[in-house]
Amino acid sequence: MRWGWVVLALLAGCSSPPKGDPEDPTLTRLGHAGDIAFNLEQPDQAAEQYRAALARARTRDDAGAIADAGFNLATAELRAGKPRDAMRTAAEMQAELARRGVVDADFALISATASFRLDDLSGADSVAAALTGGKDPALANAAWFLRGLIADARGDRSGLEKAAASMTSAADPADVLELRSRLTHDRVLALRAADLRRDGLDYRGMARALALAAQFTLDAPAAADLYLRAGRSAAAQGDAAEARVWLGKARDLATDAGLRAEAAHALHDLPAH
Amino acid sequence: MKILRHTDEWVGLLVVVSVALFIAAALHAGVLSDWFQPTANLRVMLPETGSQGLSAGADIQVLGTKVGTVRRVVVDPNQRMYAEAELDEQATAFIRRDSQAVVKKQFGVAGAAFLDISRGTGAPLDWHFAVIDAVTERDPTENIGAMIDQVKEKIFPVLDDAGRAMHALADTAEGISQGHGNVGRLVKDDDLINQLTAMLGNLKTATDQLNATLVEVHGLVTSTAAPDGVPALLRRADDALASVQKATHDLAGATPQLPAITKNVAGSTANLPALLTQSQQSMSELEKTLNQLRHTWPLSGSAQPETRRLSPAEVRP
Repeated sequence: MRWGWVVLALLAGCSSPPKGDPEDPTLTRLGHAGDIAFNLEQPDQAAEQYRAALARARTRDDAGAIADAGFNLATAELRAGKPRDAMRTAAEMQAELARRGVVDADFALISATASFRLDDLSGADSVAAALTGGKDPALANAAWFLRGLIADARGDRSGLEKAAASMTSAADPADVLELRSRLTHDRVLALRAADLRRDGLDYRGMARALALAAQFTLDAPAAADLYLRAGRSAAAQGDAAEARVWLGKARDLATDAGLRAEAAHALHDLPAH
Repeated sequence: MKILRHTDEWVGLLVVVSVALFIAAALHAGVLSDWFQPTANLRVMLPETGSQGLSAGADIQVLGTKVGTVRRVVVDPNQRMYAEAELDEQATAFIRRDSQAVVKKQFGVAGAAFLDISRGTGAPLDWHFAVIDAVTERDPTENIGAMIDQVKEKIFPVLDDAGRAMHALADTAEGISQGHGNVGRLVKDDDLINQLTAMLGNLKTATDQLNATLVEVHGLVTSTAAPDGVPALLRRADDALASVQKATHDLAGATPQLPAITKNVAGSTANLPALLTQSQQSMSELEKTLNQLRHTWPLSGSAQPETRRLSPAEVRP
């Protein structure tokens, strides 16, 4: 038994922490603080930390660290519901990295997503189309999913079919289900997508899937309930524009006085335009 | 009979003197100088609306000075009309490619037509075949006609509005005279006039009551000035101020201790930045230790190093 402990100690001594570039403790601490805030659903605080990390990376003149901190900052801004800020950050980073001869496709995904959120469908589609041919399967799948949403918003059925067919096995199952639901108008698929989004803590996507399910529900009271759930979730996430649309539909479709009152109350509580 | 001798010589002398006098007179009149003065030819393309009375012999002016004449006006049925002008060579320095000729009348609307060429600043003309375009000056009568049209456009709507306003005023006056509307009722309705009269009577009564109230207020002010009125109130205020003074005195007693309290607080807060830095350092080292422990066999020797970038999956539409 004693020899066993000795062997274990010797083997433990053989292990070593992962090797990598020498790190700047301040940069690491700022990035880590940003990650913690981001994971705790505090995107505004995360953006502040990532902005400080970006400044530190520029102090260090480290292209890789600048790209990482800039991407994290743009992602946090997008999560905080500030697509214009995210688009500006992505454009600045692309220009800065281009001066160093670096091309980072992740920023194109930020630009495309921000354009989509700003209802610039043609701009978002052209940027996303350039990403679909990339070597990174995660990036390509995300771009195809975005193109599918854009095609559905435009009423372009062939584009939606192409996007759904182009998703690979590595794609997020919730994305695949959502596109298939949009293609087949199947509320069950939309509800399964909402469940997967909930499990993945993607509440924005969950609210969108719930609203999609409501759209494909023929029974007005059930549709009103789904719209109410989607609208309340969006309102709680600070997405007042989507919440206003979905809560308005819930109020209009509701046959139950209680549900209608609840939707009207939630609408009233939304911040003004 | 006297015989004139040397007749042929005298006749010859007379001819020679006559020729000499003619040459002298011509030189004096400046005719010959005109012949020998260097000139330049210029073709002026006349406007399609016509030459406006421009004819051969018309003056050509540059900067208000005559610098030449129109030799002829050519009417070409296949092209535009043009005028061939002869200019003093010294005027060619002023006429450039961007010069423009304007056909003007000597007295604005009447008189002989002449060409006024503007001074150019562009590239010089090729004086072997110099051509510039001409335009006609706008007829002053056109300006007057346009001005009259503008005045008509402004005046007639005003007159129409005035007519409508007068019509409306007449309708209103007629309505009032027939007793329509509030004003008409006021004029025609005897009941309303009676009500107004009654209201004025009530107003007089109300004024009397107000006078009585003012008398009562005056009495109230007089009673307040009595010994049990305002003086009693002042006494109570005096007592309250005495209490405040006592509280201030107690506060003054506590004030000497304030610097010590402030010093203690300052001493405590001065250590806070260092404490925060130490905490951050401790947390950083703890994190390093945890990371090292996490990558130590047999806990998780194969764990991947932490990435600095969020996943692209976090970019959600």
